[in-house]
Amino acid sequence: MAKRKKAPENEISRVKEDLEDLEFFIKEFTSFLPLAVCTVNPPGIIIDTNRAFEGLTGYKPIEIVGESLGIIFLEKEEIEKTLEIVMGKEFTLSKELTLITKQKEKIPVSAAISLRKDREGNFIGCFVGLTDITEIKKFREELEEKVKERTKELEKRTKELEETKVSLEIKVKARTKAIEEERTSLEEKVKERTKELQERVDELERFHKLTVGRELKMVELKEEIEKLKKELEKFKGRK
Amino acid sequence: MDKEEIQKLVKIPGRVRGQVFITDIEYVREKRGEEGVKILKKKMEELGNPINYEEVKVTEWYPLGLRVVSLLAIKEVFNWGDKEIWDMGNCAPKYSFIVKMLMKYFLSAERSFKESPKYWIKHYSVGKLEAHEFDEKEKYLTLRLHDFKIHPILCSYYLGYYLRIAQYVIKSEKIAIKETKCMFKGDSYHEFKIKWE
Repeated sequence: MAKRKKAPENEISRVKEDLEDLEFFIKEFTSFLPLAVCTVNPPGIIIDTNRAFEGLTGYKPIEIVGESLGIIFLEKEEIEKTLEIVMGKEFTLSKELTLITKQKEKIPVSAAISLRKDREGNFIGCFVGLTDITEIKKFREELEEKVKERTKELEKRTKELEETKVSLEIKVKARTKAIEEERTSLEEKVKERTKELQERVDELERFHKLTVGRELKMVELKEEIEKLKKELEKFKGRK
Repeated sequence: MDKEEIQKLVKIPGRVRGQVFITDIEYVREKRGEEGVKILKKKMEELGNPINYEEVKVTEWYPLGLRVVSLLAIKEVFNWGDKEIWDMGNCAPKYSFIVKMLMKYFLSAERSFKESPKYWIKHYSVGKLEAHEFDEKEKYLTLRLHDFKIHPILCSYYLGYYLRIAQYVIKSEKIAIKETKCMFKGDSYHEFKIKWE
């Protein structure tokens, strides 16, 4: 009988020791964790924080536990909506928010919010992990600035090229017009010259015809003279 | 408070979880620093070490009277009044590992109210917390604590404590608590009424 009584007590004692070890482990683990973590209950109240959370926000557990999660963010409505989404849809969500530290410093953070459930699957709150993204954001902003500058340069260059293109087009058009005008002028000149030459040719042809006609007339007259000469001789001889 | 009084208190029937002493020492550390912890430890040595805060274990059961010893010693060495004891109670849930473990009871104001008797027995082996009345429309609730006439210092402490639990689950900027009945004032139970806007 005594043995039966002793066994459960040992068992309870062992379970208690295990629980205390577990508590110690959780404390040690959360203290070591470099990620700032807080636990939030279903109404959105902070119920626990770790050492890294204190380091990032400047709030000691006694100062922040029991306060609404929204108190540490600039975007209070957004964090409340995000909590509602996580609680309603049961998934982990990350959001970029602005943390307001105890010293009223604003730090850009990435907040990862994950649902908590108990053994029976009942929703019991959320874990909220905060990562300082100041450096990442600074790098991203610098990169964006560089991209903006480069885009601006490219736009400027494109504009210059477009302006050059427009200027060239104007020049080409003017040159084309000048050539066209010159061509038109030349054609007219050619036409006039051709007309002049044609008139000359016609004149020459007329002259030629006239000259040839005269020659023939002369030949004809010569022949006539010869013929008349012969007739005159003949007439003289008969006399 | 002397050793004789401590002996009397230790004889009070009932047990309490070690967690309460851990929250006490954490509060002292927060408010008075390591120097305050030293002062308190010295006081405990003078009283024959009724509580060794360093060796207390969260889930271990301790004599209920020591709960009162701890609060009276703190009140004495730092010359604190009811206001500070109230604040100690108000901050206690912030340090409590048991409270964190029992968060599943704090899903909503009504659920927390209904589960509060279970919450009580996780901390105390005697007394009975009754979830008496919850009126969401009128925005108030009452808790009744039966069979728990230990020491008046606990009344101030519980006022702060229950207010904090209410602040965990009620979304309101204005929450107030009042002890409407007290066993030390002739009532047959303690009654705490919490109202919010």
